[in-house]
Amino acid sequence: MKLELASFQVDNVALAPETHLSNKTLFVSEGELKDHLLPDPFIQDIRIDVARPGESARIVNAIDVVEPRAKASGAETVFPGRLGPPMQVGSGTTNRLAEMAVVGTAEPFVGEEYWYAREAIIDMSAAGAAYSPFSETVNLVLHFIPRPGGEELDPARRKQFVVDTRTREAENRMKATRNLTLKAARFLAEKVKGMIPDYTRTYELGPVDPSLPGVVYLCKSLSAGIYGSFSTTRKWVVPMHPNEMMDGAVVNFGFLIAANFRDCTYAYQRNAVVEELYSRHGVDLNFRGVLFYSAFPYTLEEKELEAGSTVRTAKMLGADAAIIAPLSDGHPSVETMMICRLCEEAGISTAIGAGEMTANEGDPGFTHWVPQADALVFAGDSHTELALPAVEKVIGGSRVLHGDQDAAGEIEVEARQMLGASNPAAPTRLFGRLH
Amino acid sequence: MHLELASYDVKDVVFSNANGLVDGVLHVNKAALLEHLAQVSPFEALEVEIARPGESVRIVHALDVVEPRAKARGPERVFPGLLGPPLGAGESRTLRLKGVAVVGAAEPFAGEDHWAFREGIIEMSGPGAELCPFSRTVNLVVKFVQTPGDEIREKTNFGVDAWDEDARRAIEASRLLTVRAAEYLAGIARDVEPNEMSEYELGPVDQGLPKVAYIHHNTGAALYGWSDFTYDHAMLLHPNEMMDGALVLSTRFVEPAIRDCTYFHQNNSIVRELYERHGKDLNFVGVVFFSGFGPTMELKEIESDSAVKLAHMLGAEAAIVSPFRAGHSGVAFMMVCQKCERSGIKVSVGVSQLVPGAGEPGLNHWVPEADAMVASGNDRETIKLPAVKKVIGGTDLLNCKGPAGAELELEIRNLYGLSAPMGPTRLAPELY
Repeated sequence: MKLELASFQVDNVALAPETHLSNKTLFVSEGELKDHLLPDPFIQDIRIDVARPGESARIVNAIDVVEPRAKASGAETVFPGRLGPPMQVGSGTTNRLAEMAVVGTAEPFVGEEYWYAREAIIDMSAAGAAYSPFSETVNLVLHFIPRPGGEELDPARRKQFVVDTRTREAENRMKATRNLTLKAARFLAEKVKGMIPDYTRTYELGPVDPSLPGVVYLCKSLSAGIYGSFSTTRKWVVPMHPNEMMDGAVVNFGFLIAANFRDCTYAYQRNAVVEELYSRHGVDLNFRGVLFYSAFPYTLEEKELEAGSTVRTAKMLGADAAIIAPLSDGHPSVETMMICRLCEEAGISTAIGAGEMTANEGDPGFTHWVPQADALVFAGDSHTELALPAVEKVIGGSRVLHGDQDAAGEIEVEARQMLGASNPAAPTRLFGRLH
Repeated sequence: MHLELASYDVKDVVFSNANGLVDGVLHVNKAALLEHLAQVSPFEALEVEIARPGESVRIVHALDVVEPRAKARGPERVFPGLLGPPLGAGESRTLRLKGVAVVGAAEPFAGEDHWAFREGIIEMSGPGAELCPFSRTVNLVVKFVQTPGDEIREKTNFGVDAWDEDARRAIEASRLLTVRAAEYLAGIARDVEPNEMSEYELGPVDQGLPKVAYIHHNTGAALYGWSDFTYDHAMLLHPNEMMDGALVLSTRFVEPAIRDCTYFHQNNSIVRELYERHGKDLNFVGVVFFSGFGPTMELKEIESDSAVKLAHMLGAEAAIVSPFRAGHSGVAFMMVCQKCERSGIKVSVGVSQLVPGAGEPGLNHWVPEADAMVASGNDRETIKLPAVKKVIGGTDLLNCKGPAGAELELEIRNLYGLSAPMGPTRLAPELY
């Protein structure tokens, strides 16, 4: 499987009558983009705006972030299963618009029980910028306005703490928001077809010195859709070529996970672990592939099944070592630790990429831990309290859900509300310090 | 993954006062066995009987067939996921009683609604025995009996495996008891010297040998006790797991002739052959496990794409794809063959034929890339079976009608294990 990733540098995005890339500025026509995305059965309108690094701007209610990509050859479409048939990607040539992102946003829909994980903020400047990798990309922000419809959730259900609960109508609108964000990203990248890229990089897991240690990436799927769908309670690991993952086979899909950990599509397209393993393939290691394990088998028996399946498969692929990421809280942390233990017992050395969850001073920072987990890399603490200054411009809504604050004013939030703050698989800026 | 298989040659099984394996004869304390099973049995009664090759005996309504296996070291369990935590298959030492099978049998349970696949006939002598792999084993038959008077629903429509909750639970219980009996029997040999030791490990071999994967099409197995697959992404298995109890018959019954019972997984002919030749004229790189039951074209694309991708990730240059089955999964199966060949993996295919009429192609779907096929028999041929002196498992046939002990003429698909392409079958087509 050989993938050529052709990069077109984008230093700025500007709204214009016609969509095209010129002198590293992507001009985007609102009319053309809306004509491409609408009408939609669930989305009435889209507000289009640009947020640039350094601007006094705040994006709220982000759902997904996507790097613009389009296939030039090798497959029919990026994001197979979502934007076309679920045919394999990872080969041929893909065009990408580098250093920019499409951010899909939507205020909570009618019928949506929005718990803390619904909040996702990107600050383009000041203190908050340090808490999101997307403060460094030029962002084309799509604010989706849903068609009216649907009923409020039954108040009885609202009282319970239920993860990511939505009515069917709200789910349809959420799905449309995600799909149209992907579709917009593809639309933009299609505009550079036939142009000469600024640079091209080839990704291929060619044969290497077999004495190099085999390394697999055990990637926990928090809310990934793989070729269009994925069961979050699946008990069997899904082995995958890293090219598929970076070429749009994996998108943000299921639960909305806390913003700091959230596996946006962008985090799969430009996965920090995959990039690092690729760059060292044949140098000091032998990259053997990616194994996806789902985050939410609920029973201990199912977790044992998943952990066993993951470790046996890693072994079959010739793993001597494994990178496990991301470690987060709740159910998924238990099977991650089980996988770590079984790996070490089977002779596979592990390193874990973790986001800390230190609600109180003196907390261990994990929900579960095993002694075999002795190599952890921290991507930052979820519960750091932040006071962020007022901004000149807010995109994606007007309120911060947490504490119902005015989004344009000074706000008080926790790091976990900042999109991508401490996802150890994404290019985050936070890390732990020993002292 | 390293497995030691300690085989004991067993030429007969007899009921005795005490358990033991003496001079190739397995002595079983019937009361103790029944007591061991009764501990977890929801059934009103359990009956055990022995059927030996050559006897005028017919077993009917066979559910699963299992080779007796136990782990040599006490606390470890075979059939992980069913008898213990879902770990450990394919590793350490396993004891195996060669020449013996445990056959679970039952008349339809209350709430069971589909009888076409429930005859499950094993002939211990006569022309049927020539064809059935379990006519050559000494069979300990465990019959599961529900309280008489439980209402059995009439078959109303063609619904594959249409049961209610009670029937599903009864089938699950029967499956558990069958493997529990198998573990119990093999445990009797624990302190006896085995006749043969085999070791299974996919060790490094000459890298110049062609790399061969076995792409196993799951047509009805439970993996580590679970049969509720979401039919999408294929997975990798180690052949040792397959042959050491990770795969057991699921609660889904396919035709007896092609049913992939636990015994066939334990003694998978393809795995054995590939192991035999590993390091000689090929490099066995592993097993890709896929289920073709996805009912939409999208799922079939995902299933077939992911299976072929995994074969490539194993480095396969050639693959054995088996077993074929009719219906939805036949389509996904052929898509796998096609995608393999088109991406440079040569395939050969194990199929059982399904030829309802003369001139029928024998397959419900076919691609030109599937040009190396090994067929293991035609399910729709008929066979005449003479009357027998003794019947185990029931008194009457279901959709074939009539008393079970009488002279019969029926399609061979009702006979157990006759044309399963991964089993030690005796049928093969003739070219002319």
